[in-house]
Amino acid sequence: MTFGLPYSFGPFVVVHEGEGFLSAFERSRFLTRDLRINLFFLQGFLFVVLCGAFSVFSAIPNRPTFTNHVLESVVITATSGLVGLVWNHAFRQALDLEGTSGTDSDATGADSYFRLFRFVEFPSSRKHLEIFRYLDNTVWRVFHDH
Amino acid sequence: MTFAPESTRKTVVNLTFRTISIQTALSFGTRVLFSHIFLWIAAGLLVGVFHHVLMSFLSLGGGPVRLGERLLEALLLSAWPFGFSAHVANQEHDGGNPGLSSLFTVPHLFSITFGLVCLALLALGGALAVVQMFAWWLPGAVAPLGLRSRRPPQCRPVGVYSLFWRWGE
Repeated sequence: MTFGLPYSFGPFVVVHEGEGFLSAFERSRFLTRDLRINLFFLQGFLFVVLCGAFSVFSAIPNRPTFTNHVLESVVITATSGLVGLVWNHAFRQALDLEGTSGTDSDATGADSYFRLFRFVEFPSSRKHLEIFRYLDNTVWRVFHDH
Repeated sequence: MTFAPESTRKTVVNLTFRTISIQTALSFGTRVLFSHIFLWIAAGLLVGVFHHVLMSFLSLGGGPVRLGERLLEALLLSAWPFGFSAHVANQEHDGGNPGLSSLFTVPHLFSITFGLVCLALLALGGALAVVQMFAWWLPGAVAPLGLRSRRPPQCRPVGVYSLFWRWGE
């Protein structure tokens, strides 16, 4: 499931933008940048929903009658409906964020910081050396100000 | 210590921290599910007909069905309501009025199904590999999953095994 996180918006890209499924996966990789931790928790919740649905499913007798099959189908439909609705909402939030640049993006160049809290700044570059340069600058600022 | 000169210091740019709200997504999903509960029940009844036909075909008149066949059937069966729910969610967002007609106008159903199958292969394949690795590592403690088995597994830890709690009845 963890390996599939970058591709998890693939089916929704298909629904929204009508892409073929391969290009939809590629687009999903782009949309999920910086959101992998969020998606991990989202998929964790969906897994809990799935386990709950399986528990309800198991309460239905296993005799192959039409009534039992319809009951099973209602459980399957309700589960995939809830999962799809929640997942789709997360996808639309990711779509809304498409114009913004995040920590893992070079859209604003490597020479930038983003501000998480008022007094905390983090380097936004993917190059690890930037962290040392950032610390160097911070130390310089502390000594300079005092 | 070498101090960085003023000219090489970084410019502070306020960027948006990219995050999505899982809580909002959950509340939206439950709200839409319960506000259109009869729509989902109707969809479940329609899917039930296909489920019955498929299970009759797979079980060849009431016989036991393999675990893999049952999982694949459930996956294929859930693709339609999954695409339907995405369609309904879009209509809710864009101010439309989802109805029964939305059930028959799910766009790109084949690509959705293929995408779901690929994601499930990734997830289930990884899970199967982990279970097989532990079964090989701890042969007495962990039983292999056995997708080809027609009998219920002896141990039923979580999730998918609970499907088969009443297999023998």
